[in-house]
Amino acid sequence: MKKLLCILTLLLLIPVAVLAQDQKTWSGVVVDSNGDPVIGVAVFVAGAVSGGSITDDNGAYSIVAAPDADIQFACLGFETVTLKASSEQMKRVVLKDDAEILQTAVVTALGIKRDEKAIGYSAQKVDSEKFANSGTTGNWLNGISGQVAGLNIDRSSGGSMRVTVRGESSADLENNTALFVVDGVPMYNTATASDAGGEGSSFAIDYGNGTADIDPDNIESVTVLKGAAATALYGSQAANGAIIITTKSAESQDATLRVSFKSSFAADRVLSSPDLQYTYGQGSAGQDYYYYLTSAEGEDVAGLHPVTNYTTTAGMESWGPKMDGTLYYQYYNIDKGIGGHVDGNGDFIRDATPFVSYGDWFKRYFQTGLTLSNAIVLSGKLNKDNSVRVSYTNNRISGIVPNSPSQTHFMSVRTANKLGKWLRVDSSVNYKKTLNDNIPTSSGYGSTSIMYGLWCYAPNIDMNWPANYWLDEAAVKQDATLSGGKNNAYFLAYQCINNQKRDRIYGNVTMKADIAKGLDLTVRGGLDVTSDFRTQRQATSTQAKPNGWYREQDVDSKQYSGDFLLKYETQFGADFGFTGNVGGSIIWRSYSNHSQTASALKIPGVYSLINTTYEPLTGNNGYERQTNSLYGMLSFSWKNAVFLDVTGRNDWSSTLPKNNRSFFYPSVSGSVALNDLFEFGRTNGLINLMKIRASWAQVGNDTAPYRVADFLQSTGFPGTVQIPNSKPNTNLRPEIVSSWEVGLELRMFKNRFSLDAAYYDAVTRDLISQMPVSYANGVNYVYVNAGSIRNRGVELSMSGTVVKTRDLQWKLGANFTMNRNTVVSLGEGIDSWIIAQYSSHAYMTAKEGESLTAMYGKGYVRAPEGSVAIDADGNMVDVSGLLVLDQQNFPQTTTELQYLGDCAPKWKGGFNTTLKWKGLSFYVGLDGQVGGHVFSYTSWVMNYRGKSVNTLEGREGGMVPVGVRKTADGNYVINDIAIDPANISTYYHNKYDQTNAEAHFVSTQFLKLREVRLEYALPKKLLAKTKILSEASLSVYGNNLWCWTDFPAWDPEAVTMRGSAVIPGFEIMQMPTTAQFGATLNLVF
Amino acid sequence: MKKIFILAATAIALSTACSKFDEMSKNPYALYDAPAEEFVHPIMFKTQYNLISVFRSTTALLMQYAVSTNSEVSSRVIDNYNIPEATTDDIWSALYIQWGNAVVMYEQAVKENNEPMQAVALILKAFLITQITDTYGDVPFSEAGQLSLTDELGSYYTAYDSQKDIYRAVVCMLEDANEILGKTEISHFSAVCDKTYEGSFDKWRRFGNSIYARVLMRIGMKVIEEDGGILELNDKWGAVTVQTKLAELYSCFESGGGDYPQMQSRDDRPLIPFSDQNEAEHTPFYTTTSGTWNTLAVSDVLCRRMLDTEEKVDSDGITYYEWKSSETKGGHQEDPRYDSWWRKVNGMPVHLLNDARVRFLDSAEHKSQAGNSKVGRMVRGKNPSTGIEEPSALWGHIYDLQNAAYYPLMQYSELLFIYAEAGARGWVSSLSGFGAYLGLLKDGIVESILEWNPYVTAESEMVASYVNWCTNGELYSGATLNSDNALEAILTQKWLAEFFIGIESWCDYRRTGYPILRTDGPAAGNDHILPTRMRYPSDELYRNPDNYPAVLDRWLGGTNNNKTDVWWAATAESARIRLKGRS
Repeated sequence: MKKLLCILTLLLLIPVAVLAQDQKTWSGVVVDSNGDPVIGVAVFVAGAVSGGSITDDNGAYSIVAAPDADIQFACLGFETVTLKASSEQMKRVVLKDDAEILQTAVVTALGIKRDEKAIGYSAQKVDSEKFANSGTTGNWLNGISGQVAGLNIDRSSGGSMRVTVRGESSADLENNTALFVVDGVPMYNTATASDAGGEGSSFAIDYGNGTADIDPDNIESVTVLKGAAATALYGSQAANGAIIITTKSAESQDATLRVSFKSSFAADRVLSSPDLQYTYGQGSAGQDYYYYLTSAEGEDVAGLHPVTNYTTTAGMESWGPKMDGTLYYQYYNIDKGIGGHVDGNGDFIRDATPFVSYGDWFKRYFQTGLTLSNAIVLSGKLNKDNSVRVSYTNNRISGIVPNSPSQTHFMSVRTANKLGKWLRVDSSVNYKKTLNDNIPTSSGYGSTSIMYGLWCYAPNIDMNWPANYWLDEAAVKQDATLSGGKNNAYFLAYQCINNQKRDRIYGNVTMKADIAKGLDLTVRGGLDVTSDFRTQRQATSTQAKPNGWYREQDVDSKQYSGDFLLKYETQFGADFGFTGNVGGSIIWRSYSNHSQTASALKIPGVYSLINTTYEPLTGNNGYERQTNSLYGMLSFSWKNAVFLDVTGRNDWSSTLPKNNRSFFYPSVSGSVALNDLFEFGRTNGLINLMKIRASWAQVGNDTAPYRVADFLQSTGFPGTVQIPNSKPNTNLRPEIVSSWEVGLELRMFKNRFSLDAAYYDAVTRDLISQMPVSYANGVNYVYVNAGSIRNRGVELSMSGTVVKTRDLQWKLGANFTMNRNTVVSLGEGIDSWIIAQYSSHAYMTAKEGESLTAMYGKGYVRAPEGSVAIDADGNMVDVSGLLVLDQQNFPQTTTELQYLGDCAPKWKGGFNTTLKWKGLSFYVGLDGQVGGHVFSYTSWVMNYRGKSVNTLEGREGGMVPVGVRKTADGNYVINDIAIDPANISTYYHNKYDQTNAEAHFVSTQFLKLREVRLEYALPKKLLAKTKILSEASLSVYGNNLWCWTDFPAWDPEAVTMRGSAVIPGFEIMQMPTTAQFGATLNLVF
Repeated sequence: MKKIFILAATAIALSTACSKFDEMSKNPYALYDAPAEEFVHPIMFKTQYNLISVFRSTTALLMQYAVSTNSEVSSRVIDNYNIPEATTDDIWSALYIQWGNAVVMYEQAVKENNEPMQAVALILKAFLITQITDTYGDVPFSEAGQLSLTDELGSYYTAYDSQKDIYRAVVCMLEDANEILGKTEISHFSAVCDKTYEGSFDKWRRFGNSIYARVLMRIGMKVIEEDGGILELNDKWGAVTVQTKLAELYSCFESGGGDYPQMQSRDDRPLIPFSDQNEAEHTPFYTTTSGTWNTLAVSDVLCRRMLDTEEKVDSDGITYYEWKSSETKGGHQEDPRYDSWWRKVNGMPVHLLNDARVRFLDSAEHKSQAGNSKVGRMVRGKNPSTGIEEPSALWGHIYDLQNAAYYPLMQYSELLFIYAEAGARGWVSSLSGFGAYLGLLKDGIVESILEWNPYVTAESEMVASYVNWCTNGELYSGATLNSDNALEAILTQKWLAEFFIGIESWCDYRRTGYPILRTDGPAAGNDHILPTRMRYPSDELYRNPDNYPAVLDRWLGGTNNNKTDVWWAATAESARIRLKGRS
């Protein structure tokens, strides 16, 4: 590493000399490919900060420059052309319509750049402009949402994202995420959540995931490699697809020095409200009074409970009195003068105040989130051999949860240097510092979760009341009365603070040597080091840690990697081409987590490990792992139109047992550019590219460390041991993904229309999974290789330019993804398999022949098919499927689990359109999905606690539940008995029982207005006059502006972080989703 | 050149790296081998952690010690026989994990050739599997936990064994353990590994044989009804006759030694230490807020056995019982345990519908001077955040139920009640006289009182007064204690004594029908049958697919119900007495 830094420093210091030469005036005309003059083309000396001109109505120009200066001709909609001032073409400059230019080069595995038509698999490129807004959102991946067919992003409320490509390929959901590769080096994104202090895994502190450590401003392009053939060379980590990120370099820029500055501002506001009821307040069914704390002796006021000294606290459920303005004794606070007045004697006298609704308390609690982001980039092309790009970005964010500020500093340096004719050295170093003052445990079901606290409130609470969160002046006891004894949501935000200081450095040095003609060698060294210091606080009087609690954690991860690639390229005769690549890599990773916990604090409010009542507890875990690989690729081409690739890779992984450590996997892919072989009317611009492709590949996948030998773990009691919950397996084998795909790429009408279609079929065999087994085994899980899962699907991407004139352009883009997942087999003797579960409420369970994401749970007891009953008129009526009510006319929940439906959507799609008029562009992006479900705990809490509009019926006057009752002789009678209003909460408790997964299995079908963006780039003509600015643009945008959905909570896409993973299929008290409005100013000097 | 150099360098790097793989594949934060004794305390602690949690969440409600007044859950909760899935799973998921540890511990002791540790493992196994089978009925046993012992992972499914077969094996395990420990010469293993008995093999042997007495009593009625009292065992132990064996155990108990030494006093009971000073030793209730803790109210069924109460009817027509005034009480004082368990002396009727329950808590008749409901709540220690002692009557509570320093896994008094019952049933000839087992009953009551109230002695007036009241009062089927209602008296008192002892009183109820509990109140569900078992966890359908449907068909009529009696509870006598609770 030291060496790397030394080299880097040297490179930065290489001096640059610019020599002045004699200046001369040059002139000519600029025309398009039809020979028509092009007006308004910016003509300027490359790299110059002043001078330049614009073509006139005849396309004519003149410019003063030295003879060997590079003159650039730039105009929107045309390819930029650079010419030597003294060259012949200067007289008549022909600009090509940029739609005619094929984006030919695609970065593929191991950083190998390939001609697009030579690729036999699906690789979708996403341009950097798609991330233009994402600098201000938590994670740049937002920018890809809905842009790439086959890509799926699950989000947690806290910003962690789970990216999967082409469905769930493995039964281990944590193992299904795509690999991120930056400039050829895989990123090491470790588990990032922390449990919130021993309350299980139903919620967690979400520290975001490592993918957010990429500065979107530095991204040049992103290629999504979807199929196994695309990633066969990346090996096991990329078995689920790879996202290849290329960062910006100064190498291709024209100016000697360019300074760009970008400033963005964004505001986040809670987008929507669930269907909450604003009619009844907190309390129990049958209570027609509300009284906060203890009444005074002898009070006799309207609304007061008849019994003096009556005590109640606001319960967490909302079955209370109507919020119709009746006067009740509500919350009071002597200091703030709330709920009372001071009488003549100076005594505080409580006043009865109207019991009314204050509206959506979530919107009142969450504040407007603000993000301010400033980025400065200096990029210099020192000479034709050396360039350097330095960037610094600073983000300041205050989240929507009160008291959750954070900031990040991001620095990167990228250099490209040619050292002599045969050797070039590129390097990149990125440093990110994250300072989170407070990462609230925002979502999830657990006492320190903000949403858990908030779901106890009701509209009868003015949120300014709980905002006074201390009960006493000494600040040792929280006021949790308004939330029915659960943690006060403001107390959580201000006193239960989780902070983080994190440093991450990652980068690489790449050396490329041209050894002989056609033979070159690339050697690369990379490192990725993260040091993360976290503290977690729970103040005294928190529910879970009444004596206060404090933890410090050091989380460190390191990755060192090295690889080489030897490439030989040659031609046989006129038509045959051959390229051979041989390479190898070593990736070593280590992770450690050391924590110290003070489980009770001596002095309240002092957070230090010294201030502990008992000896601090320590917790240590970590691992070390390594993968060594050798690989090769042979590519053949014929007439530059038919291509064939064969690859092979062998991995050695330290995580597998000795005998199975080494595994080999091959791939074959091919493509044919039919348009180069046959005449399809290319000459008249009808078909520009018609490529068919096909591939077959295998990718091996290893497992996490320490799953292959039985071990004993600590217990919390010194000198004792216990067996782990998951049984290791000494015979684990690598899992193998085998897939094939066929595809078609088409470009037509002078490239104004393009289509990419793919069909794929992938089977993962020997799945490594932590399979849940009967507890009777003495363990909950066993690591096994068992079964196979098949994902088949269709992906379509289309784009078209509908209108194209010099000033006006209108583009449309759309994509469509359909994936079908089937469990082919589960291995010998295994019939079913729980993939994920939430408590004992809902189970994602794999069964042979069905989908991996099928959900099972308990449902309503219903009359079986063919059941009949006699109705009031004495007629026999069919009652099959009706709810069977119990003796008290309450719905019942089955005791056995049943199939509920599939969590995965039927299909997903995205649509976007761009309209450009001169410097003004307008973008709208929509995306959505059809089908899809989730087990929603938000649905449970809002219905069970009487907060949703679904629970309004029958509160006054009662109601007759629809259903039948079973008589003692086994017949059904149609229910005609009403539920008493006093028992209405019990009725709804039974109707929305938390174990009744059917009641809370809800649709996640949606359509989102993902982005609207308006951008104005100042005309070059105008900028040229400033003599300093070369580009200036201003954009305003809105993200996530609207969502059409039946999903009862806020965001159908958001799932909950649990443990260290984002698990799809379960929504556990998510945070509200926000709409973001922002503006970005971009200046280039 | 360069190419060759790099290739060579890579090759060297690869080969050196490969040799490190073996080292790398070992977790530095784990142990790969440990002596058998290191398993003991974690198993004991986690088992007890679960059992006291199950007592408070489930047994306390099913067995009408308490009524849940949680306003967030409906009236159709555990007290009304609507048992949520998570509660159903409690024992299954926690105790099988400990079973897995005990199986590995036993194998380790075999590997070490350490016979006494094998015996301790056998006692742990016997204890764990009886708790599991007593809860669910037929459960995996012979195949259970075996997965941890093998590298050749074949089937992950575990067949269910019949409860009778399990008890056969349990008797053999306890005989084996007693035999081994009887000839063990060393007296101790590491006290660090055993915070209960500090490694004393003698105390382990006494504990094992005390479980043996419990086991024999558990299966006695059924084995007598089914096989004349003879339980076939294995080749080594042949068969056992329940009455004979109990008589043998009793003579050893009486003598304090013999071939089957048992607990001789309260000092021998297995106490599991807890501590609020160490996160690993917190009780399951450590984080329970006062609001949640207070959702358990004392039931009037229990109050009537501990306090001298009189029947009342409130303005809503609900019958309830109130402690008699000092004038009408006569000489009787309250049960000396009462203030260690509850504060406030009014019980809550069981099986009330939600509206009645709310009215009962809210109406003027049930309010104290301070405006709080008069219904008794379970004692809780001082509030750790405020340091304030919560109110307590008369002597001040001496026992912090929420964060006690220890909880016994089994009490000494249980043995006294077991032998009293054996006497009343005429199984032990030396105890066949009314006077003989009456003495054991009285001793049992006193021992239980001393377990909870350190401010009294066996001679205290308060103790004598209570023992006198509950042996001479017309408490059992409306009559004073005589040989006809002796079983009811013994088991009613045993029920009281089993406060906070896992599922023991529930087992006794299912086995004998005592204490007589009303099971058909207005809100009672489950066809007015006090659940006879916990349902198997429903995810067994997926975790154990072949065996689960098979076991449902085998003894549950195809449905995972909680109305079918487990093997030892399915006796005519038990069924007849339980029906008395349906008026």
